[in-house]
Amino acid sequence: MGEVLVITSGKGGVGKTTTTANLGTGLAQLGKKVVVIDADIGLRNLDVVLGLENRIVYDLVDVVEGTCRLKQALIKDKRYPELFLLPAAQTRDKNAVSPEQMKALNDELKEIFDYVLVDCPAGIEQGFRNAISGADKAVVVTTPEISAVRDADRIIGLLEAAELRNPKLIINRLKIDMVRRGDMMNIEDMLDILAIDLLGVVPDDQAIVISTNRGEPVADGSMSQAGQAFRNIARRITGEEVPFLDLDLQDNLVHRLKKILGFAK
Amino acid sequence: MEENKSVEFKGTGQGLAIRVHLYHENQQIKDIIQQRINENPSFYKGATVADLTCESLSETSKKELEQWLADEYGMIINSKSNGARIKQDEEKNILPRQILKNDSFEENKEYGTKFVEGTLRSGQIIEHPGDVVIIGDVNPGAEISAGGNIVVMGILRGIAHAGIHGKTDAFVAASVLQPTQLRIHQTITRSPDDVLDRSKNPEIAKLKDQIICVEPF
Repeated sequence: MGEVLVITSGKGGVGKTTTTANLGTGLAQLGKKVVVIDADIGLRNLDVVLGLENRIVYDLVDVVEGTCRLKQALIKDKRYPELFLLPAAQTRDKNAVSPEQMKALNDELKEIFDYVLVDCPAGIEQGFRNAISGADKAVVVTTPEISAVRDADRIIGLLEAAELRNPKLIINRLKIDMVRRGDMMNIEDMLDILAIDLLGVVPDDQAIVISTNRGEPVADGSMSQAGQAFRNIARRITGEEVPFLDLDLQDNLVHRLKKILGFAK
Repeated sequence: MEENKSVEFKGTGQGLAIRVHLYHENQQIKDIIQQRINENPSFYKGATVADLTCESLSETSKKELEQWLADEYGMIINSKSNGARIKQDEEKNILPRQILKNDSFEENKEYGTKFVEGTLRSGQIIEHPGDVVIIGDVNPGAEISAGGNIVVMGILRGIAHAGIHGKTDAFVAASVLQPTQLRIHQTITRSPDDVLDRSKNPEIAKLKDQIICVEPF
């Protein structure tokens, strides 16, 4: 019996879809059977980020309406045979699916897969209600901006009201040098406000932009910091204890090198 | 004013004719119709809808809209479009090849060619039982499905499905052919994963021995 995780944030553009794609990839690397569901009906993106857009024939709405069987709509990933995508419909809207239908779908998928990751749309309306119904656990993604943290706080409240207790936090797009200068919220500030467990911190990384445009998740073998961070989070989801990336370390190394070469004090 | 023009109400001998002109989402169209009906609710209540035309909406969205009118305002849906749809459904049940042999030419004559001007954007669908000509681009996420052929006078980047009702000699032609997916009758093909040096010249896709072949023209 698998586990359904919903990945949500409230605010748009903080990296829900990127996180979902990378955690799906990271879990598949660990040999888990994973399905990622795009719940953003009408504004689907997960298929593009995974590079699977041209394979879509049937989608989530087709499954729910009985136009096709569940297995017909599942798209196998290019790289990992144990990773599947259930795409959203692009030509419909959020009202095409009800929370009850999503729950039934999640229950069915749970029987087949170890992990079901649901990519939640931005906002707190019907799309959000659909995405969280049937979820066992929730992951809240935020960026170190006051607006994103405010929305994350609201979402945590709504999740608790929906009986999804103890959501976990992922802080995305942290700029270490800005934090050091005191220009960006630091991790402690955010944890103080949100008061939930930290699942991981993903540094801001240009590799994400490149990988998203290519349709290859950064967690897939990339040497980038963000890729490593996502792989660590995937391992933490499986229950493994993984120490947090010491984001200062690599910078210190550079700093030390510079010092040796006489570029820095 | 703009909004009032986009949805047109007309009284005819058979009842009310509603025409939706703009490319709107279902919900927006509902809102506009609701606004109009609320101006004079008693007049519209229980009215017979003789005809509901909305070019931008797919068959399913249209069905939903009709159902909504019936549920919300007790309107009686008795439209020509209903009749047309039943006919279409029946046609789907006929063996595809039969249509092809007997009256593929007549079929096209009956439905005519649909011309669409402008860019077709993600999430928009054009459905037509005859031929479809798009004068503009078709972006990724947009879909065209036609009973006959599809011609795009622009860049085709979305999904094109020609010959949906069994016309196996249907073709898809575009000034620049870079579709996400191509479908002709019951054959599906997708673009290669690695971006090759794609042709920037006009190309045409046809079905040959159950395989979709693309060649310049």
